[in-house]
Amino acid sequence: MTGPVLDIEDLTVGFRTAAGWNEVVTGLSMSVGRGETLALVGESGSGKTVTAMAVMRLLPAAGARIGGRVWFDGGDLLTLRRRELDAVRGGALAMIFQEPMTSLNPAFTVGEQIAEAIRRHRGLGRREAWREAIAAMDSVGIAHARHRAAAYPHEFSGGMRQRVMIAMAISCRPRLLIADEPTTALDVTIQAQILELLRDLQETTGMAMIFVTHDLGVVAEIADTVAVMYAGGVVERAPVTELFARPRHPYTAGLLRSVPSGAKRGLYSIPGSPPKPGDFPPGCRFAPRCEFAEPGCSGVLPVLETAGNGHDVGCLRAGELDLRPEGMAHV
Amino acid sequence: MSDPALELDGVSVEFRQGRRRLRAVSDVSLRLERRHTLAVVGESGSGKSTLARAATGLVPLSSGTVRLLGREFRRPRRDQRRHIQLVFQDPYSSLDPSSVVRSSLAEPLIVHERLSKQDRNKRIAELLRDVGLPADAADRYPHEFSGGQRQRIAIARAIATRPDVLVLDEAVSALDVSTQNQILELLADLRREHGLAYVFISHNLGVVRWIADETVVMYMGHVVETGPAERVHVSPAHPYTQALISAMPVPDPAARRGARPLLKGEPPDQFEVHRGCVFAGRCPIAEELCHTTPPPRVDVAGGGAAVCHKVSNHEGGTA
Repeated sequence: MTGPVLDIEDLTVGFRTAAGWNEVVTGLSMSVGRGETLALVGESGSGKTVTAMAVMRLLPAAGARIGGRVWFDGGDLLTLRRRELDAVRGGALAMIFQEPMTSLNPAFTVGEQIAEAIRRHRGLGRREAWREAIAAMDSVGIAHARHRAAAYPHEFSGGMRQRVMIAMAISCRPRLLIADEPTTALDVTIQAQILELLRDLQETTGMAMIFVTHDLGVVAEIADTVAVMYAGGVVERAPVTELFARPRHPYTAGLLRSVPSGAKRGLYSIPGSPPKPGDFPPGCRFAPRCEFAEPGCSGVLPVLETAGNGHDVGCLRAGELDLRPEGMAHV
Repeated sequence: MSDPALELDGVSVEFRQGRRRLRAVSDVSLRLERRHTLAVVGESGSGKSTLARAATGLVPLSSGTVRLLGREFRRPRRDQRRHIQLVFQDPYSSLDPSSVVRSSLAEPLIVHERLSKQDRNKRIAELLRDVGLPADAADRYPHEFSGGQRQRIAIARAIATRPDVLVLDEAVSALDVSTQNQILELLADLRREHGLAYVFISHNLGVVRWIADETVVMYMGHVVETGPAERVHVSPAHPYTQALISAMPVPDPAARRGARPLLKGEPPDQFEVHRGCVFAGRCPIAEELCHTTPPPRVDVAGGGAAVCHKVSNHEGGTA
């Protein structure tokens, strides 16, 4: 049981457009271990959701071209046949999304939907599966689970629907849960409850988690390791405390500075806006917005190199820059 | 000129669903001074967006009054409407995708100002410059712009009639942080240069702390706390405000939630009628009294007030 639960090697995703293939994820490698939470953080268009969808094989075969390897349970998810894939997805490999209403079938009770997953992946009979569904709902904090199992998705609030999705995901004892912005559509008080629930479940089950988010506050709350994505690639990866205390990529440092903190001090904004897929600049993709860029930066796309303390960074100038947040320069 | 920019007095808004009545906004009074920013914060169902619509005359009031620059309106007349404008969360759905930016910006100018075509185009160029867009943006379509740029266009359109009040309903919520900050800076600049006052509706307390002078916290249609933005953020008095602030994820792994209390449960059914405090069902310190009697409005040290039975003997902040 050593080694990573999921190991992504050199993942590349391209989408077909009228003008040809647009590469939206480029040479991404990362892994997540048992009981570990990897936060995949980035702004819209950075490729974080596409990465999650590619791992789950949820991208349309006709419109997307996927390269690289995604090792899970001894096999490469990218080469699995349909039937093998069906056995894995929703079982050992589960995913939850931002908007639970669109992932639930409005015509069936939530109990039926959870029980269906259990029958399919764990081979239990109808009655047993129903009992397990109720137990799963109970374990995610849905009160009166026996009674609520017979209710339809529209009878639940947004937070409760997300609990239903989590119940369905964990009912088949996944080894990896991919959570794509699962709390973004929820109110903060409900978000806090769901984050705590996910942390508790992870502690008791030891499942690994990839948590996709744009919110650095949420990252700080839940992650063990953080991978920062920009324009289709990981630019920096580090243990969570290390990343917040000593960001080494100018983009990460800029994101951290952008969080409004304190009262009426100046707000920091990274100048410009991220490039669109198909329009990535040559060399380092952040260079045109980077205050530390040098002529050499637009020459080659930097690869991740280790900088000690489990910290990897893809920046030509990483070795010479001190990007620690204000007030932490001497920590 | 001593009239406030906007004043709401005892405003309620009710919706009907069959025989049931839903009180989305319940007896809200507030005052926005000229050139100030008043933030309205709350979670979904708090009534903050309905309040925005009531203040701009987009939904009828069931009771109460709205005064804009000292003049009361129930349904704003055309000459009043130009003084108060709304900006929504998603600029993509508030801009006509089949019109170039020029015609979106021309519309309010045609309705409210009698300008020659030449003057109108001059004004459009001015507006684009004000919001930091290039002049050639006028001849492009909304889909050619990024989310942040589209929000700039929506803001340009809102200030086209030279209003005194802008109501910003989650205007930066859909944007990525780096873009969000650019728009916040733009709003601060426009407020200064054009003498605007803002009603800033948001669920993001960090942003509110930065932009607002005063904060109003709403829960289930009721105002539960008001006060100077910094005071409300640093020493919230109402148990709901305290819960809201402690639930905010902090971008610092060292401050990770350990023993920080979580607010249990979810907001009640909106049709439910409360005899006492609307928050009593989820409140960690509620007593019998809170469930039976409407709470009083209690002044809070540092400015503002909280509507709570327990605040007087429960000092704001950390107690």
